[in-house]
Amino acid sequence: MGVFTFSPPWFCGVNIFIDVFSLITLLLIAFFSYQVYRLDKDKKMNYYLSLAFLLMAAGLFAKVFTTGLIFYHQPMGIANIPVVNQIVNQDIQGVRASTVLFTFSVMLFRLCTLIGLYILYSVFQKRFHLSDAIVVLTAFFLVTFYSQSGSFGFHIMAIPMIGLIAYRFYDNYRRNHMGTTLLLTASFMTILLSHSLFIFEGVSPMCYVTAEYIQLIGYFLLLLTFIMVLQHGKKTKSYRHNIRHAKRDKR
Amino acid sequence: MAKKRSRIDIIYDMLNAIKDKGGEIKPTHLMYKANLSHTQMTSYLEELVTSDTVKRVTKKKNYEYLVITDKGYEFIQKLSQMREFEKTFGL
Repeated sequence: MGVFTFSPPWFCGVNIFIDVFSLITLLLIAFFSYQVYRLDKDKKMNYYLSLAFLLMAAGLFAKVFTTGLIFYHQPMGIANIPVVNQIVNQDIQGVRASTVLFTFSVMLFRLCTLIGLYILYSVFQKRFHLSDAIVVLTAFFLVTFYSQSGSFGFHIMAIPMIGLIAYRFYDNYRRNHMGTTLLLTASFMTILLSHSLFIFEGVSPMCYVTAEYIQLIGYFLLLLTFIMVLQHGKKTKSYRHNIRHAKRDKR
Repeated sequence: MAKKRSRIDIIYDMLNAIKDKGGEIKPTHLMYKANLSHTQMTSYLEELVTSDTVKRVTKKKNYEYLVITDKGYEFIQKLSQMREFEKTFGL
């Protein structure tokens, strides 16, 4: 749990920007989804979608807060304790987050992200069982609190959930053939790739840097999807729930 | 079997029916186009008029017309975005 970031010194700041960008994207979607729920409170899925994105945003906020604090306090020497990676003996600068605050933030980031992803997964699977949720949440707590290599366990748990969510989106694309759904699938696939690379962040700092850039691409695609959804919506097509209208259109 | 329309779906259909008719429509035509009973239409129409999305206007030969307002157009846009969002995410 100790090492929070494997960022090389020159990359500090860039990673904060990437996380802030991702955070804003998630917040925008969460806010819009909540607005949709407020318009039609019968559609509870929108509420859960909003909650999932909000939790993921909260997790990223904790990460940004911690990395920001470490980065900006470095010149003052408060948390500037470089550690050399013992496994591969490379000049990797990690920051040992030994304070309670840092440990708490790391836990919050991982737990919120995992719970957010689980809610998202449950929403798209269209099924939720309390018993399943209890088991999964227990696993999340164990991974977050007790795993010696917390980062590894976190990404390993996140990957299948993101993969299944991306598959759901692809399945949805096969049915609706909408460009925005395809873009959404691509964004989640890209985020999946970034998580796969984060597993190797301890091996080489370049893995961490590449993973961060891929994460940026993933969230950029997600933001693009959201903007396209809003733009297409502005064109105000008639979906015609009315069967009589639909029949007339077919003729 | 066709899925039952929700409250917001009916409102969306009503507003779209008015919009498709060039922004104004007679109440009876709206009732047919939105596939509603008279009781349903009266209740939903009251809601739309109260929320300033539709207004009643009396025109030639004392016929009553329903006219969509700017707020109504904005609301259609918002509902369209909402549908696009739901379709994209498969909700």
